[in-house]
Amino acid sequence: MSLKITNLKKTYSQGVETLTILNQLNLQVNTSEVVAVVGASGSGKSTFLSLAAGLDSFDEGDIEINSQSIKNLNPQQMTKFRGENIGFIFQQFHLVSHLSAFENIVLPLEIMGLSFTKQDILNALKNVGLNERASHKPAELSGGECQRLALARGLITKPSLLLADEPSGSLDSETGAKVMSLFFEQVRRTKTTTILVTHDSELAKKCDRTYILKNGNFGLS
Amino acid sequence: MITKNPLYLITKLALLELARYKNITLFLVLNLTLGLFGFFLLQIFQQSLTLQSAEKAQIILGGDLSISARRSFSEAEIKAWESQFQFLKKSQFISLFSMMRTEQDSKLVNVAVFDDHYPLYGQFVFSGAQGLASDRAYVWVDPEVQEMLNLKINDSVAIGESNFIFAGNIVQDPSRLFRGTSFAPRVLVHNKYLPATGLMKPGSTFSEYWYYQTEPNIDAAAIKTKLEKFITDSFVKISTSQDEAEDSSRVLNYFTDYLGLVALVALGLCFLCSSYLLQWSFISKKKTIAIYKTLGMSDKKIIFIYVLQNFVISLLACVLAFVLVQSCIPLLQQLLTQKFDLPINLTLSTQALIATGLIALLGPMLIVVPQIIQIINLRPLMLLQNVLVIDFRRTTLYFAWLAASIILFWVLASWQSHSYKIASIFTLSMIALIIFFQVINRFGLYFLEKLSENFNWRTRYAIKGLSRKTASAGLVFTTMSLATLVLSLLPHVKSSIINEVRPEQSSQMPSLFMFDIQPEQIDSLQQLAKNIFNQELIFSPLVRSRILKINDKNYERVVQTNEIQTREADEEARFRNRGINLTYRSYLQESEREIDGKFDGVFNKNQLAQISIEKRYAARMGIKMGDQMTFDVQGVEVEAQVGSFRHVRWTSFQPNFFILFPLGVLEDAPQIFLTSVFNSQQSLIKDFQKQASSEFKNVSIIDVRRTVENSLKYIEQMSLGLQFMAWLAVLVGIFVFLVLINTQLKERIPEMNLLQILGLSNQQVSMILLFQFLLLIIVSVTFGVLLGLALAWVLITFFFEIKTAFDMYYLLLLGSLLLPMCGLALYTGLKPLKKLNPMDLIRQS
Repeated sequence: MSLKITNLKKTYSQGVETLTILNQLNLQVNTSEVVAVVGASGSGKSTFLSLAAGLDSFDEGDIEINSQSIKNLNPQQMTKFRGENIGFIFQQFHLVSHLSAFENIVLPLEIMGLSFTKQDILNALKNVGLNERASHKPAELSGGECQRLALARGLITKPSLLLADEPSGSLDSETGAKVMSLFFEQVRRTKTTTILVTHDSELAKKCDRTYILKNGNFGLS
Repeated sequence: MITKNPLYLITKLALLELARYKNITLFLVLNLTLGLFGFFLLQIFQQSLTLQSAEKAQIILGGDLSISARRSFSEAEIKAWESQFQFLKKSQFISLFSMMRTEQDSKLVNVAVFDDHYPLYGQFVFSGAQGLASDRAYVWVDPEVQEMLNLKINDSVAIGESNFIFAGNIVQDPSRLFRGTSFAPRVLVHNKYLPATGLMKPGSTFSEYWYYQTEPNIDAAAIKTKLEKFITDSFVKISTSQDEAEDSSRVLNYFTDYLGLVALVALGLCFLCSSYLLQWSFISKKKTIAIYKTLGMSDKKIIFIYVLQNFVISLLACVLAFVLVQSCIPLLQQLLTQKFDLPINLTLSTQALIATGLIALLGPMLIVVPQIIQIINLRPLMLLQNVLVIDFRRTTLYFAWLAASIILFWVLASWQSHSYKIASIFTLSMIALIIFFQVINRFGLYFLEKLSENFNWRTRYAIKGLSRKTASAGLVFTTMSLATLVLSLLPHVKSSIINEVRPEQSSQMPSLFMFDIQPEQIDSLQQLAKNIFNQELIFSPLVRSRILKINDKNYERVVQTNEIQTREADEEARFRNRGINLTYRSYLQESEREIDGKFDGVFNKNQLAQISIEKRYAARMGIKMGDQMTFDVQGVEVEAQVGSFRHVRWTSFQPNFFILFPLGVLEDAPQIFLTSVFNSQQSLIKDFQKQASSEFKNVSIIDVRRTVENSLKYIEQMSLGLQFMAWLAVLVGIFVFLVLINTQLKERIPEMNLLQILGLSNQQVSMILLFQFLLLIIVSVTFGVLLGLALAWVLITFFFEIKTAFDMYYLLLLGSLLLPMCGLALYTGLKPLKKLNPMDLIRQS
């Protein structure tokens, strides 16, 4: 089991009012499974991602990643754990603008102190079709290329869990489709457990399961 | 239907945007305020100085018009010029140097000899009860004379061969508005008692002045022009009260010229910073502009929005600078009066306000031009294509703007320095330095990145944060290096000058310098020196002359007008209109070095006398090797040819001359002699001075060491003023650094959040940025300081031609002040990092 969420509750205080965003949320994602989470704006998708990534604390329940509970990890331990176990892909790519494509992929490995060869990186670039663009900086790449690069970066550390937040949200439909096709190809090939947050129901259909986030809880579609 | 004035919409949009980008607005306002502050303060100082000099012009001159020369005038001469204009009153005044003696001590003084009508304007204030009077042989002295000779009222003192009664101290001398450095303090005696002193001997150094009071409605400048045509002797100086007012503050004006240039460095840096800030903030405004355009707003209106915003920023900066300056004036006033001995009443003049306001308005208008170019080039289509990048740096308009900015800077520099030459050198140096810093920055960062391959990834990452963002790193590098360069350059120049001339550090410096020695006194003086020091004095003859012709071309008087003219023209006019002292000997002194040609030392009858000219004098007068010069040596024409150029080390304080004749030409001319006395034993020196001043009453003796010490005081004060301005430039530099940290952080917050998501703690992210900016600031400051040292060495060695003495104590002080300041800037700048939240990355999506 790659991800196990049990009775998760998250509330925010807004003045005197307490808003419950997630309530008694449960989810189990098996290793290599690709799960879609869909939901309307304000349904709590971002909160869910933040909690799954250990970026925010929750009020009740537990989250286990690779059978390790993240509930009692202090910030330093959580940062290390996240770097070692979780990969990210964002809607807005979030690449480091002054680093080349090659260097952007190297970055998570360097942060975690993992060893790598030049060929590893070139292979990662090749897998997303960017082997010719290794020395280019993000500003010199198209939107689709940037997202492919972000995908390669997300997978380079071989994470136990990949969290993808609307990866095609900033791309036109044609480019988005191409990128997502590559996305599924890569996560399937690497057998990476993935949670894909999306608005796109067609995209969600390509996943193994789809959860609908509504009123702070999941419903299976 | 409600129709709104387009101006209302533009104003609303402009103000809303300023409020939305309030941090940028605040930075722009503060930045401009800092730049304007020094400039404004200087304008007030300059205007107050000019105003007070002009107000007291007649008092400073002692009349509406003066006619003077370093010789005595004949009655016929005086009658002749007086026939040319009407006047109400006149007064004669003589200025000469002599020793003032008491039983115990003696001191060189400037004897100011007045008549019954002196002064025509203004009044003296004395410490004693006795006002200016001629019934007895009174003498009034500057306070330092009284202090040094320990005088009490009614004490007897001797000047030349006559005795005087000490009547009091000169508390206020109307002719000296600002007392600068002079090698002898003033004493006042009535002209009735001058003949008895025996000081007016042939060849003696003295000046005679005739002051005239004219009708109030008479134009003194017109009389001056008329007299300049009438009096053919080019060494007769004719001055109006206006000339004298300018002359009285000449040294201060030179000083403020240079202060102005340093203030311009600060202002230039502040405009560089504004330019960066505007461009940086404009990137995020491009989308809004494209939307305005899509909605049908004309380019003109959009440009107007940005011009209006700039106007508001200028206005706010002006008001802030005004408030700051107003609150600083009382403190500065106190400082000027007490520490600098400059009783200038600092008042805010309209002129200073207009000058600063113009700079505050025109400067920002000029720096907004690149954004205007981009507004014109921006097409709404780019919004649809999501491509809002415009390369405006290759356009003709951009280059035209760049040229206009440089010209404006040059105009400002010319205005501040009153010299096209200095302004051009200054502007070119600034451009060269900026280009140099940019090149060094790019290459330095390139090599640093290469070097960083050997370091851990965090160091590499921090260095890449600089090397991949050369424009922003270059801005800090340029501003900080330039500011610290100016700051570190000045004190070393000062310390080298001081080291060269400071008595206790210069074994080659004489103790006494003697002049006005008559030929018949040489043997006795030599004997006295032998008796006291057992050493021989070397006497240098001084022959007064004037240049009549150079290569058969008449050397004419350069008329000094009241119109605005450059410092060079002013200097040239003063230089040409004064006599020249000649000397003769067969050899070059230790303080002289031949640099071109050959000085034979002995006159060869088969050719013209081959003279040697000091190289800077020759350059200034346009004299070339082989030129023929004709001198008027007190009525006799002497021809000579330039046979050699030589360098003279003026700081040797030995008798040095611009023009050196060989033996065999000037021996029979009327002449006096000069000598210097080298001895380290103060008791012997005092003994010698006492005996020499009582035996040779006409001989003037300067205590060189004391005089030099007095001059150094002024060098120290001027250096302090320049350093104040330089610190202002550094403050601007630190402000630029803060702005860069702030803008960079804003730009890089997603990147920093990402690093945390990828596994770095907040502390580790902060350390990366801390290292990056610390490296930048340390390298910038160190480079600026080192370049300052190198430039100081170049300037001292090749311009001042003295030995370099770096002020290490100052370097330490600089380091200990700059480091905490940069540290504080870093701490303040990096504070927002504590609020980093990686969740923002997900929320943004």
